[in-house]
Amino acid sequence: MAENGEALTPSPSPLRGRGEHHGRVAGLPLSHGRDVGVADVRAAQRRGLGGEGHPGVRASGGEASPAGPWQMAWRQLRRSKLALFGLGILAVLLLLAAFADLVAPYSPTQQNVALARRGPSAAHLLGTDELGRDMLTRLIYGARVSLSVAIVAQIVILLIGVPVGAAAGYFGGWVDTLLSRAIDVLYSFPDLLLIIIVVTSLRAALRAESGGVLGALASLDAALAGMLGIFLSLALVSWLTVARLVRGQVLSLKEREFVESARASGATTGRIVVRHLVPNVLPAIVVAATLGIPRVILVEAALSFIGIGVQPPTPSWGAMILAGSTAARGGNPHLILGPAGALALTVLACNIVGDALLEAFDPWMRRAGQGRA
Amino acid sequence: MTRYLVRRVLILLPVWLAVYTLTFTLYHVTPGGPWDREKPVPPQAMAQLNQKYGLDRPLWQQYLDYLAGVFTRFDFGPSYSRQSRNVSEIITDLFPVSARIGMLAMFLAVGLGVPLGVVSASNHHSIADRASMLIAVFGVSVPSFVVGPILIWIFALSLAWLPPGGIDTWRHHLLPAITLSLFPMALLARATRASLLEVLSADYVRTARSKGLREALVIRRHALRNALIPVVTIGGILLAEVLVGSFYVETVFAIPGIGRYFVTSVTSRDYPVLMGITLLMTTVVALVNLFVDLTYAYLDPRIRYG
Amino acid sequence: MYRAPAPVRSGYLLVVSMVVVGLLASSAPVSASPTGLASAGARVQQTSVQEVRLPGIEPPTLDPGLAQDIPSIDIITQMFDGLVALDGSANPTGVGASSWTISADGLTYTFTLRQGATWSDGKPVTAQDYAWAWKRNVSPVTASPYANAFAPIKNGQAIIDEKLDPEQLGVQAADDRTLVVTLERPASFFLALASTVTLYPLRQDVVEGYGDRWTEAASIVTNGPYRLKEWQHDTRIVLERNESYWGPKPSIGLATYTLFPEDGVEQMLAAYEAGEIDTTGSASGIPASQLDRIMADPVLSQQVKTFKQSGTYFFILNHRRPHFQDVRVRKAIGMALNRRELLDDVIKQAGEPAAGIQPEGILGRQPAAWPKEDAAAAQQLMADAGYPNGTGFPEITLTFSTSATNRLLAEYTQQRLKEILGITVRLESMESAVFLRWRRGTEWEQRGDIYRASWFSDYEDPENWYNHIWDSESDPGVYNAAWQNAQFDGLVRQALAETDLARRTALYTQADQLMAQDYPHVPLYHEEVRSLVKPYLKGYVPGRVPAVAPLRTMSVDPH
Repeated sequence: MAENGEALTPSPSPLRGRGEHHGRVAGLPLSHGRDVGVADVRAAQRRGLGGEGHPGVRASGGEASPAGPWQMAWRQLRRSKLALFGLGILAVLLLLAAFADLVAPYSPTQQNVALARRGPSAAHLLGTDELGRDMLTRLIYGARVSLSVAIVAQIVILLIGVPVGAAAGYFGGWVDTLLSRAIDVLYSFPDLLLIIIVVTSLRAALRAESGGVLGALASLDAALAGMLGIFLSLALVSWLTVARLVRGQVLSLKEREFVESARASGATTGRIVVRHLVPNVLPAIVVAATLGIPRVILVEAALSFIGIGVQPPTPSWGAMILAGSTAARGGNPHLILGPAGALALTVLACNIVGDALLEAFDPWMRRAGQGRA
Repeated sequence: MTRYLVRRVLILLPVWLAVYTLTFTLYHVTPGGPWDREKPVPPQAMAQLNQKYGLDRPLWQQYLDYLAGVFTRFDFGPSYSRQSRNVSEIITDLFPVSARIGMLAMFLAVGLGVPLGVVSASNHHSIADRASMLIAVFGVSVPSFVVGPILIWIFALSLAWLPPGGIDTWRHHLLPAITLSLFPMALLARATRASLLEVLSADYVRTARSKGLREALVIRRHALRNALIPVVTIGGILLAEVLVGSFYVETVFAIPGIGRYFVTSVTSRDYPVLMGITLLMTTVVALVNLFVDLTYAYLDPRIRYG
Repeated sequence: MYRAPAPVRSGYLLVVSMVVVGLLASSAPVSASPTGLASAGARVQQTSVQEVRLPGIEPPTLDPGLAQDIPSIDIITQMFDGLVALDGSANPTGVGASSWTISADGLTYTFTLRQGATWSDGKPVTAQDYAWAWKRNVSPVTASPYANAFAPIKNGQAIIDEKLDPEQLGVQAADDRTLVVTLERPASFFLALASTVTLYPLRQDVVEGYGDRWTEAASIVTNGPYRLKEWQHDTRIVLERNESYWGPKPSIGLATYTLFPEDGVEQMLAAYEAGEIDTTGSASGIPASQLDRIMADPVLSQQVKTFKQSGTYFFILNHRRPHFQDVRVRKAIGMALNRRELLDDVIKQAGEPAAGIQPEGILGRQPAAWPKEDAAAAQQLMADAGYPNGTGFPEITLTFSTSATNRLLAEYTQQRLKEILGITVRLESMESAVFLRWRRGTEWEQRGDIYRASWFSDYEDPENWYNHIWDSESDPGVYNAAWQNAQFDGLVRQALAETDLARRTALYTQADQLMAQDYPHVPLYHEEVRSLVKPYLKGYVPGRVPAVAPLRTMSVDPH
């Protein structure tokens, strides 16, 4: 399978693997968010040590597909106090975001200039910002924006990346070559350029419209405080990672016995992919997605630095982090501690949950990889 | 080996062409141009500027002319926003600065991150493990434009040990490199830990242990080399990123580097500089990938390139 | 244990070390100038030469004919001299020219060049240098953004429109020291125009000989009190005193401009506090996030100085929109804002709340004639106009280019207008390049409501405001607001042709009063820059136009 003219190695592709580049390269602001996931490490591991062609592999005879990774994972998770803690934090954040209107003490746009830039007090638990708006309220509403950006972006990434990666991995041949080369080119392409272009062009296009599809998109964009372009562009630059990951997984799984037997029993390609391959690929994807969520929030902060962030006056953690980035030295540390703390907490929770999921899926994954029942 | 290297370099050509075409297309689709200023520029001046720089020619002609210039004269064009300079000069001046800081950051990241990960994995589930992973999480979640000013505050202003910006002496490189290294360090620590954990539970490691070998020896002789392979992968990605500079670090520390210049060229629509730096980045990625692949050969005897 | 075979190992190590060494050794950063030898904070003051360390931003160009940004103009005005300069009261004084005469009809200016004025390479400055420079700058081939500065000169506009050859420009060198300029029609502001950098002299042999790169330190030739010693791009610019300059010898012998990123206010402040620069400059000021701390600091607060500039920030209203046709609505919007609160509490910038648009120093301005801030009166006006408490008034959009200050300004305005007038404002922030393009286009014309803009004087003459930007004929190429007042146009055009100062003043005064009554746009504040200056740096006095501090007046006490 050295169709790329590269090294002839024992594995389907070099150990570095087309599937293991989790992060995008050559994009400046996104170097923050390049959470090269632990999932890829595992994938790389498997490729090098226990992958196809390695004498150590033994197929598990006749399995239709390894049973219930999800059930096993959930059992594992429940046992870990740390994982539950992480899940708890995420749940609280999501609830706060969802019920912001009920929970927040003030309105996020209510200004009181006389009280601008004050530290924590009885009336304002986390202090006020430059316009005298309550920081706690803005953080809660900011959770809404930041978390929804992160989650929606991840979903779109998966929607594009999974099919592409699966197709490349499963069909191989020229499909794989084409997709892999396209991925290579896009990989070298600077993310920032793409993001600026997508965001500004989309905003320009939507600004003009009132009716039809574009009009509907414009309303959606307005509802999202101008973030539609950011979702799309983030998804556009990040799906490559998932595609590679999925491709790697599919490559290593497609010669498994259960796939052979499914094929032998006359299942169509589609059925094989959907019923057998995707569920086995999903754990890695779920983990990658979990670990990728905080990345998006950071990217949003980074984009605000350049001038392409969320539209004011909507609060977002990223914009608040940017606004407060030098506040500590200026004597107003609360302007940065709040949003940075919220972000760190989210990252922590996501990482705990992601790691726990990895460990939970792992025994099953390792079993599937090495073909032992 | 030579044939392999040549092949790897030749593959760059279609990649360059694809990146060039993509950049060209995207650039011309984006609204906004290089001549607009807060003080409105008269329409005639605008037209004359477009004429002077050939922006009034049909797009296909601009596409081909630029390509021809690059291949025949290595001429990447003049800068639209720096009128006495051309792109090659700008890149030659700025890239080494970014690369220096990037390499320093990588040394730090690898030198501190990998051992941290090893220690974590060797003492799985201990306090040290949890603590170091906590640190790693923070390294990943606090952006450089927050860390940078804080480091400046502490080391440059309060303690006056280091300068707050610029790149004149070796001292000037420290804070930017440290700031830049935090994220890669955290990532490498996590990756090393995960990889080593994976390896430590593999069969052949258990075999070694059952032979009665001390744990440290087990790790050093058997586990580490294999565990490092995916870490090298991730390290390669990070290396390519830091070599082309971080816009944030270079802005916060007022460093004249290619990272900052790239973003400026996008926001000021300085097309030749944008193109030149984009192609540079493509090359850096490809060369780093090559370096990483060679490192695999170094680490793993099964890999041979022919 | 596996070890790679020796050849592989050593080959690998060789390559790695070559790359590392190559990168580390390339373009050695240590420069020859004193800054490079500094350990953090501590500075070694050169004993014999007074040296000043200033902040700067990489100039896009140092070519006087092409310069349009303050960073460029700053350095250029230190290194080059023009025919005249405007003093603090906007009176022209001879610099490159020792005297001049104006013909009775106001069409011909004859300049006698100063004896002994030379270029930095020793050659005398001749009238041909001026004539050639002007023809070269107006030429379409040069594509100068300020080519329209030559429009008042005979044939200038025709040349800009590419109907005539640049050689036809109404300027010629009668002899080496006499420059004769012929205008299209009398223009009182011509001497002010002659003080701008676009009309500085140039050396034909240097510019043609070196092409686009003539401004590099190795080739540039200048005629001012300072010369370019070093230009390390994006890092620093060093100017040294021109010892063969004809004028009085300035105290500062060496000026080092450390170059910061654009909008690098925080970095400049950090460098100032670390003792690496002597002032935070006249362009950026003190970042909002640090202002309170600095004003509370016993030492730093003593070092704060405020400089006025000839510029105003305002909201441009789109007069094509039906809801802005009523002057009461426009006035209500302006009167509802609290500018002092905006400046002091929200954006934390220095600035003078603007009643009228024209800033101090512009003839004819009548700030008293403009409506005062008055929330109650504003509400009444809205009600009178048919929108009591904002009912029935459409949602309007306030557009601005993205920046921290603009964002706060916009959010404050949005809230304020909602509270006081009950009108709903939607905010739209755009990336700068997109914004600048958008406001000239049909989208703004058809659907835009308000955008934030500013104007800074090119020269302190009323023409630069009343005619250059507010005359309805120039409007499409400037703010594209479609405000038209025939009476106003008549007044300012008359004033343009007027040579008598008293009559001119009267006409412009009437024009300003008319503008105050018609209130086409909403003035916000006049530009001021609040900056830190070390106590040992004396004579740091930025002018109003251009907003740069001439090195000539500075001196540095021992410290």
